Amino acid sequence: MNIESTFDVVATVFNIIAWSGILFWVYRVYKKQIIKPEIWKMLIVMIVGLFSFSIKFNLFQSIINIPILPLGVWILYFILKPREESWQKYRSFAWVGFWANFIFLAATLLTLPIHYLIYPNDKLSTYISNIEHAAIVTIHPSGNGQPLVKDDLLNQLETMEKQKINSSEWYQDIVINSDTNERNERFPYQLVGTFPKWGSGLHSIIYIEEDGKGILVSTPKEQLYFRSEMSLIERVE
Amino acid sequence: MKKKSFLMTGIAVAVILFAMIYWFEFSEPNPFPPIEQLLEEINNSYPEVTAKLIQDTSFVDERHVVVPFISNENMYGLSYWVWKNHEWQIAEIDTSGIPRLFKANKNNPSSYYFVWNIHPGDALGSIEFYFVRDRNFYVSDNIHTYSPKIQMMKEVSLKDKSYGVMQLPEEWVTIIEEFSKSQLANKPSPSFQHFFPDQSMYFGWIPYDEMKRESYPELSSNGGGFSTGDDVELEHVMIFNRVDVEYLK
Repeated sequence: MNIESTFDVVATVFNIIAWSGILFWVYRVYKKQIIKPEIWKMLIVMIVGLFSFSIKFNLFQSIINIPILPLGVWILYFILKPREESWQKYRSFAWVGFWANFIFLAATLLTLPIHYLIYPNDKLSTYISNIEHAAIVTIHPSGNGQPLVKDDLLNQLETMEKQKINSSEWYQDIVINSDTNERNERFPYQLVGTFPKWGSGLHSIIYIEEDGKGILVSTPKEQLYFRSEMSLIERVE
Repeated sequence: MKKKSFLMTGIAVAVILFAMIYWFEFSEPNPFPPIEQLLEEINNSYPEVTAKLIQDTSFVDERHVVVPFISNENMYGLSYWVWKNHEWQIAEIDTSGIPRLFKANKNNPSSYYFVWNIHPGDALGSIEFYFVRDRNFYVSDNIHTYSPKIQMMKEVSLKDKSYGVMQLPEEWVTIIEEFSKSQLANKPSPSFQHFFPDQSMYFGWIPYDEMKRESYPELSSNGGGFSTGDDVELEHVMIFNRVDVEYLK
């Protein structure tokens, strides 16, 4: 399996930035504190402090976590409180852990628009940027033989227009008023071996329509449908 | 000085131990046992049948072998052997010979094999193997998703021999791999999963007689077996009816 096509560079970069920021913050607090804690204990306290009750909701098909209750801090409080001295020593790091959740929240909120700017999700070139090893697999017997990918497929993709998916209609058209034995599939081909734009992490499943003029992109988050004037595939007789 | 030699002994013991474990686990398997020994082991581990004839030994890879056999009770069965703990062991015996999907390595679909041993009394002429995902759609808050039907077929003739081992066709492997790759990328949140209808793929088969009419292999379907555990992964292959297959021409 190729890791490259599933690697999300924007999310990775912001994750690294977020963690660096948190570690720097821990370092600053450590410097300021007069009674020094043990470093490994301090890091564990910080990580336990991360644990929180949070509200999750979906924003543009991504999960946003808003931390509400500092559960980790409370747990540490109950463990360390009996020894007053160690609670004083480690308290600030537990709170750094809790507030670090907001750094991750900020990182996610920045990742979304930046990812969108670099990899617009309504552009086909985001999902198909390299067709060197592309091939077409006929996934349904109503598909016609073994079509070939056209050499200028990438140029043609640029001109394709996004259109509405009428999934229920498509489904009914095929299933209603037809014997099982006579059903044609609307998307009997799959385009395989392509790569998404580098670093987008958007490896998707790409179906091609019966007439060769439509593409249905299926990411784990959403589906997009594009149409073109001309057929994208060549038929071999 | 004493401390140093103590350390050296420790390292030497660790290296030897490691080498032994490595040899035990990863060395090349021994030659496969001779026929008499195979028969004996099958009969010892599953006394309900008496195997009398080994039809073939099919190496799926260097550590997995499928051995079809015939029993005194006139059953056509299959035994699955693995190289484990530095010896050849029976992982599973099945006295019914209808097709199953054998996964040598669960994570690698190109290591999946259809395996069958059809009773000659069933007089089958061919088998069609199918790879299917059902057509589906989902609409929620004006967001539409649609999954096309996948239906791919591979026909196998039983005229020359009624048993066999067949690797999953390359194109099927490609489709499965593309799917798991896209699942790997950008893991959707659980609350999103419901936007997508069921995307599970499954395998099926249609048995035909020599005149290419659908025919149910009664004799091959009877039987039992045993399994030693999780050593081999065998998946049930659904029997399809021709009326359920799309676009018959």
